[in-house]
Amino acid sequence: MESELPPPDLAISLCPDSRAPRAARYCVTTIEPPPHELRESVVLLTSELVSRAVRLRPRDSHDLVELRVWVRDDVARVELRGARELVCAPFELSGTPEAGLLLEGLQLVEVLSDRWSIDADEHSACIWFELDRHEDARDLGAMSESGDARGSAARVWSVISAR
Amino acid sequence: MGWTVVTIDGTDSERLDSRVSPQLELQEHHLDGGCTLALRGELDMSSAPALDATLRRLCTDATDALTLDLSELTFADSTGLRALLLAGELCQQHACTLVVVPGPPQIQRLFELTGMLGQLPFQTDAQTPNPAS
Repeated sequence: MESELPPPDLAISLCPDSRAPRAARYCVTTIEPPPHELRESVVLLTSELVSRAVRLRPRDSHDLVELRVWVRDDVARVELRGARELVCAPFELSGTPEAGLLLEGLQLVEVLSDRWSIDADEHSACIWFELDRHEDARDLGAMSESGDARGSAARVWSVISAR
Repeated sequence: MGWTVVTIDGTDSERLDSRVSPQLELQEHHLDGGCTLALRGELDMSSAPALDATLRRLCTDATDALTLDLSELTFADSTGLRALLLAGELCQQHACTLVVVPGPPQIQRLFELTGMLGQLPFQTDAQTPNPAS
């Protein structure tokens, strides 16, 4: 989907404070036509990305982050763009993505999404994920029962509970 | 084809808060050394501190049993899940019996997905009080 992106269904700029995750969730649910059965996962992972930006935000930063969402029949894509320090954890900047993944709130993105990445240049960055619409209605419920999710789920819990 | 970027700052977030239902309501019901804490609404990084503070106040040596009712919890993310785990830790520290009333399907699915379903003592159908009895 990335190579030929049409205009997004939602584009908002958010002040990354503690209320931003809820504001982002609310806006995602207003997308017309209503997202399909991936809606729960889109809302959850959007909340995770925005929450992560709030946690990464330096105390003296007044930068906004921009949320863009595309929902199509076969795929949903969510991007969060902003200053590099709002999108990339120091671990990721230093080139150890696994440490960043484990420590900086991307565990659910790793488990639920079909693709995700962080694209960064010198000053800005974009973290994005895509969720495919599968015939077996892959969503939170289907994922939790699938075999390939079990190993990841155990890792997610070990990280969440250790915080 | 153009599109509009809408900026949501702190003031807009306050307006949003006033338009939609309160983010998280916590209702306490005390009876004979036990307490039921019912959660209604959304549990994320904004509302988790309130739950955290309430759990720390309720889970003391004077509380014999805590029931955490998630049946009206509409949303939780990983920050919210960590706040719920705190209930288990605090009850263990204070020898307080914990029972968790399951949430709606989307909440229970998140517990399953994260492998946390077995980490909290969820009430089973057999433990649900029968209103007819």
